[in-house]
Amino acid sequence: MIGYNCKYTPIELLRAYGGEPVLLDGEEKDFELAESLTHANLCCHAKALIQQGTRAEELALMDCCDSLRRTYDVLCWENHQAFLRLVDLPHEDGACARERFKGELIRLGETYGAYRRTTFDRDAFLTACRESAQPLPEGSFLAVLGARASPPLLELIRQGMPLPVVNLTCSGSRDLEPPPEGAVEMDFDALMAWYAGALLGMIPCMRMTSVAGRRELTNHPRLKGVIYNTVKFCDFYSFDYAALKRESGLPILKIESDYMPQPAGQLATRLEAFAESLFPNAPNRRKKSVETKGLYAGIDSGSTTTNMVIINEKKEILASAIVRTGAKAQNGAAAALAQVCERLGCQPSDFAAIFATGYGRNNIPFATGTKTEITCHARGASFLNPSVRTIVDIGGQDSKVICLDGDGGVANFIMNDKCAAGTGRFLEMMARTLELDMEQMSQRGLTWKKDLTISSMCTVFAESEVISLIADNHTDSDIIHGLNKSIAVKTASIVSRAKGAGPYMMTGGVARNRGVVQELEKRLGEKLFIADDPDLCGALGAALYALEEG
Amino acid sequence: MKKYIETLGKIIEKQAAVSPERARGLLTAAYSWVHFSGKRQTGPGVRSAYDYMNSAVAGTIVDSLRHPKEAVMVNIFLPCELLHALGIQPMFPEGIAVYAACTACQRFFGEAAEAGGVPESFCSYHKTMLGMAESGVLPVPLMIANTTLACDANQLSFRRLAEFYQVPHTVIDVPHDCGEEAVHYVADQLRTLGAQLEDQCHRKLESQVLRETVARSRQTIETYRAYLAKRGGVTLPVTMTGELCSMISTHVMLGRPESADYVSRLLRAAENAPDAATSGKKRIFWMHTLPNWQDSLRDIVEAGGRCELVGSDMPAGALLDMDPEQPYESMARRVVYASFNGPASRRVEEAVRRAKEVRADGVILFCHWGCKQTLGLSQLAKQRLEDEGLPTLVLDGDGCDGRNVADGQMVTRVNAFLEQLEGRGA
Repeated sequence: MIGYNCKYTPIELLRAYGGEPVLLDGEEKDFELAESLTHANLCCHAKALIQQGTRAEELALMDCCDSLRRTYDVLCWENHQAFLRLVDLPHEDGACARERFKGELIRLGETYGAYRRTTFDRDAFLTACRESAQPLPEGSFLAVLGARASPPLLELIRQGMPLPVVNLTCSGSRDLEPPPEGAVEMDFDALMAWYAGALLGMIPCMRMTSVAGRRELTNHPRLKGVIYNTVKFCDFYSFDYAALKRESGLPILKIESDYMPQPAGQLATRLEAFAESLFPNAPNRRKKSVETKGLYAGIDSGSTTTNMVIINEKKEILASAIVRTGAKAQNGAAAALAQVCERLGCQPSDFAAIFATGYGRNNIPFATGTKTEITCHARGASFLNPSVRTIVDIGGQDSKVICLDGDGGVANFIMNDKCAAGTGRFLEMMARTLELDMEQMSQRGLTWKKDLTISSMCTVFAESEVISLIADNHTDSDIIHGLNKSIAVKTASIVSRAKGAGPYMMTGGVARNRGVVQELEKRLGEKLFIADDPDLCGALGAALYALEEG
Repeated sequence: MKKYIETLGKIIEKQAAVSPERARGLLTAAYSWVHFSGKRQTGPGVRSAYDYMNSAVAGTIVDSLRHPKEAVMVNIFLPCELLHALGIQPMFPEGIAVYAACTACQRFFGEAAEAGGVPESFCSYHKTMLGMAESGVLPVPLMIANTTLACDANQLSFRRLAEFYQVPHTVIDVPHDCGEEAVHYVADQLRTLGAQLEDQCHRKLESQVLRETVARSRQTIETYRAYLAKRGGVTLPVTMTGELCSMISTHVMLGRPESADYVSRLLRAAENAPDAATSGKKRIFWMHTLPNWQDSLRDIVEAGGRCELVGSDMPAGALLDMDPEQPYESMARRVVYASFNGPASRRVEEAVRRAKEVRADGVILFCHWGCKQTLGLSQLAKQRLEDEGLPTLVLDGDGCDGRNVADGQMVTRVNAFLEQLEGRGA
């Protein structure tokens, strides 16, 4: 087996010399070894590849990018492989570049053949070339585009989508043209010249100079939507995503992965919300048949609190509850349910339908249906204020911006990734550092005197910056104002990326923090609509869905 | 940072949001002031030479802001003799971003780029340039030309800007493998670039003028080599800005008379400098760019009295012989054989050689935010340099964007490193 990393790898040539090429694309449970050999901020795929590469006997790597070049350097330095080669891949695909690449392929073949003591097997080469094409599904399909995606990530995406999903990422869209007629007798040099041209003629990845051919990926008439993957610390594909978002009318969901096992909750939320937006009228998967008693419940199981709203058939809010989620989602949900039952003097069996949303939505045994918090926030917000076009929701562990269409449906949304910067958790951490409670954080941020700036984007860096400011005798109020500005900047940037427009509504627990709200209003240039209970918007949306679909 | 600069930065940031032309006007005025004040510096020391070169760089930026149709946006590794021979100004991200950082207005542009979809993990120099361009502060240049060396950011930001500005864009593909075949491949592309520049600026590239420009490059390189040869034996008050000036004079401004004058002044200063043994400071060789905007580090490195910058690897990374009779091959050779091209071992071995040449006591390897090439080699370099008896500090930071910097932590690390070196010397 010879490990390789990129679609431009001449795997047909390696097969012709008896090799068995295997794409090294797996996840790693941690990057301890790779980070000891390089740096934590190197592309996560490169870090995974370093760890997998050290376990491989043979490797042929393309010099795709800076991170992969350094991966090769590190592996060379560690010197574990019997065969290791970096193939110089041109950035261009013109005649001079093809000629150079042809020479590189011939040299690779000679070196690999000498190592394996084999000669070029033309039949094996041509068979491999003919088998390289990957047919698309016959009906409608979705595509994963962008940076490479690990097999477990692809599987997770496939499970969550209502249509077949095709891998068209930088390591997946390998569409080599068929060999020319007469290839069987062709002079070896001419055959390699054709092969160099065929490899460089594939739909380009983002490291190539001309990327115009990439639009071929999204112009297919049966393509119904795109899940766009970016890899942490790989910069290439965020650029392509920005352009695609601008130019294409396709529904697109952007995700970020890091070649480690994904925390299922957040990604599943996005995928489900995307699937819901593609097919808004699809039947709910957890629908159960129950006796109607005129009460409908929505329960939002978040990372910090579990919120519940009860409505009747006239969509009037009858009761609500906000309880701490605690260690288990189902315990928080049970506590919320008990609280509303007590207030209304009813039994759990009196509810006609209970829809769950939030991170814990799939772990609530008494829920009769589920919806993602994206869809529920949109529904709740549009019910509370139909004029709202953009929702800014800052909860305990994530912040999201949801853009609404004219009918209150989700037009677009962006969520933060694993980073806690700009979330409620960020404020909680800073409150702990300042030894204040959240109410004090909300109050004191309004009475600042000196305009401090917390410049670090990273939560950990920001914490050490706050400690330095405390040491410099700055007041709590000034520091909190700096933190509020930092959250506002981060959030306004997400609004801008989502192309959000007013009127704006803010939901989630952080909407109770007047300092943050004030700073965000300054950044957005507009007042934010905030409901009396901003934490309950998601639960309200779920209750409305329980009434409409339950 | 001085209070009045912070105030100016705030004004520029506010104006950039509402009137990019006014922000550009303020930046032009500020850099004109740097240009004129530095021009008068004729003293004998290195600090005076730095002011002179800083003035020349500021003048180049001012010209490119005032006359953008006489400017080409380039990356730091593009051989710019073609531009100089045609009287065209280079506009380059490292210069633009560092000047924005030193004018306390970089943050706005970094955030503007991120709001436009540029990833947070992207190189801050390029991010700042994108933010300045897309917010309308940087005017539309004549065209864009860049090499694929030394980093992936070139492939992304310049292509995006060419689309944004709707101007011609040329990429010089520099093979990873170093050899004469690669030199010819690059030289041919440079010839094509020369023809494109002629077409765009409607002037003829006179071969005699190009030869004279390349001859000046040769002279500059030879003089800078002579300076480095002297540097090991003397002590000089080198600054971070000074090393950045040296980097620019051996890269984008190589071939310009100001660069030749500048390195001559450095050499004269080194010839007349006190013996190294008289300083008692630890001698630090720096790898990669320098955060000259960061007061806390400048305080330690330039004014602290405990250490002295003796050199850095970027200015010394491509000091190759140049032949004016073969201008294209000479320029191509400089990029192909640059220590920043090819495997990490080339850059690390060159750093070992240069650090020893200038008699460094230790090395600071600066991991500029987003530079995957440098991040990726950091541990290899540390191990190799330490094998050669050069203690090395891998220092995470940012050459222009304070948002990616844990200032207090950096100061602690550098001070601890100096204590480590002082402990060795004791």
